[in-house]
Amino acid sequence: MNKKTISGRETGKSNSINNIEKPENNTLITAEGLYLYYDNNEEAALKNISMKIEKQKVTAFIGPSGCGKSSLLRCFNRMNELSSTCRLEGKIHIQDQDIYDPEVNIAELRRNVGMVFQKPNPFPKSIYENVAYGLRIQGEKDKDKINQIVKSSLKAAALWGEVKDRLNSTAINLSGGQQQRLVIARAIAVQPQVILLDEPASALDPISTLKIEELIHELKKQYTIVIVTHNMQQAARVSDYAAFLYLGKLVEFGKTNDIFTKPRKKMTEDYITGRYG
Amino acid sequence: MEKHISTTFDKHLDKLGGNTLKMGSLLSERLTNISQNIGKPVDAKSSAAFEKEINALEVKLDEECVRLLALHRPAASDLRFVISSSRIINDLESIGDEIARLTDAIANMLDNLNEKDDPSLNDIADITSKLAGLLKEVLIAYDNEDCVQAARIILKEREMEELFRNAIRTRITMIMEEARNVKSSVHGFWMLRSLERIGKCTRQIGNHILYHVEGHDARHKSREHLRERFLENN
Repeated sequence: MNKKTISGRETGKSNSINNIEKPENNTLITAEGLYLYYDNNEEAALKNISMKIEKQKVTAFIGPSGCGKSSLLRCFNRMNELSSTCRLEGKIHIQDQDIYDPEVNIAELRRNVGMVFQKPNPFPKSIYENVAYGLRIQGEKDKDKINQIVKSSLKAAALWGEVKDRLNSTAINLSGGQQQRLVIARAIAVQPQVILLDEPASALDPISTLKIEELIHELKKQYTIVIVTHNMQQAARVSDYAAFLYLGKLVEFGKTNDIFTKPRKKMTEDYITGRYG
Repeated sequence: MEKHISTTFDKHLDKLGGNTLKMGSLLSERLTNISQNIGKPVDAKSSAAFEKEINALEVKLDEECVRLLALHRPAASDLRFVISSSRIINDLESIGDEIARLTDAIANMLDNLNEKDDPSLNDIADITSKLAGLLKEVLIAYDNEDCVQAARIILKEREMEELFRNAIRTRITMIMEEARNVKSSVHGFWMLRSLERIGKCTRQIGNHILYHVEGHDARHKSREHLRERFLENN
């Protein structure tokens, strides 16, 4: 078919931080000129990524395998540093704090920026102890306070009704969906600002997936959420903003509604319509 | 456009586009046929069969749209294509209904004419022929995903207002001159009403094409807006 269009698709500056206009005061995370190398001799896994992530919104990272979604996510709580050869250039600020400043307390950063992985990873402890674990690590000794936070965290994770009568049972016996919600409850018990979700529902059945998605809708009222997902329908359903990455570059970043109905870049269009993978 | 990884998806999209064009072509040919044979006796049987065929196509194509949405969950331009096709199918079905009404009005008029009556259907034939042409052009624009052509058709249809005004004025004059003309003029008004609706549906199809190709909703926008957005520099 001969397509005759008026507005050019390729007019936007792909990696400009000004790519998306948002009110400055709503920005929580700012990434500027990020380059990530896993090995000094290797090509950069992330190339010149600049973006602003809004407070109390859900931002989804989409793109084919190996495009750098999870690598970018892990930059926000310095998880990449667990690999000794990993090197990052550029800056990430959470509010006004440069999180790569040598003075930053990494444990405190990871408390503030919680993370949930693809496969639920509850500790081999009771349901109660899983949620209380972070509080105890922080030195919290007040039992009443711990009880209260465990209850509110499980409620916030939409799990309280299902486990309130068996808080002392082992978490390992919970179903996959329940375990994932327990892990989310564990993350929010320490009152983070940001929750990073790395394919949180990819190992779950459709009903458990819907429960996690519903939970994300509820959690964003209080937390800023960044989610990596391969399920584009999920990204469309749960996120307010979506970023499409390809070969380590940020191709397009904008409102999810625009990305899924009227993307500006042909590459984004081709990816989300299934024209290449 | 490049093909999808899923060949089934491509097949379903092609089928929807092809059948929508087929439905539109049938209507355009029917309008041409009416304009060329106006004043001759109307075959009520073939008219009813035609309406039935259009209705059946509408139901079938609606099902195809639902299947595409349910099975393939289209996004971006694919989603806009399915949504705009669904709207176009709806408008084509309305055109089918109006063609049936137009045919009935012509048949009623011819059945009740006295020998001395002047059917005065030349202007109706002219408008019908022009609308058949516009419908054909808009279908080509749909096939080519050509928003410039779609915008031109929307503007052309709006320019037909003058023809409708003249046809109404002619009939009012006929009634004022001779009371015997009332019956044929009233039939003429019914025909004009159907033709006006066919024009409106054709214009809507143009708008749906703009939405599909550009993601731009031009409904209820001014002529100037269309000219500025789509026709300047083209």
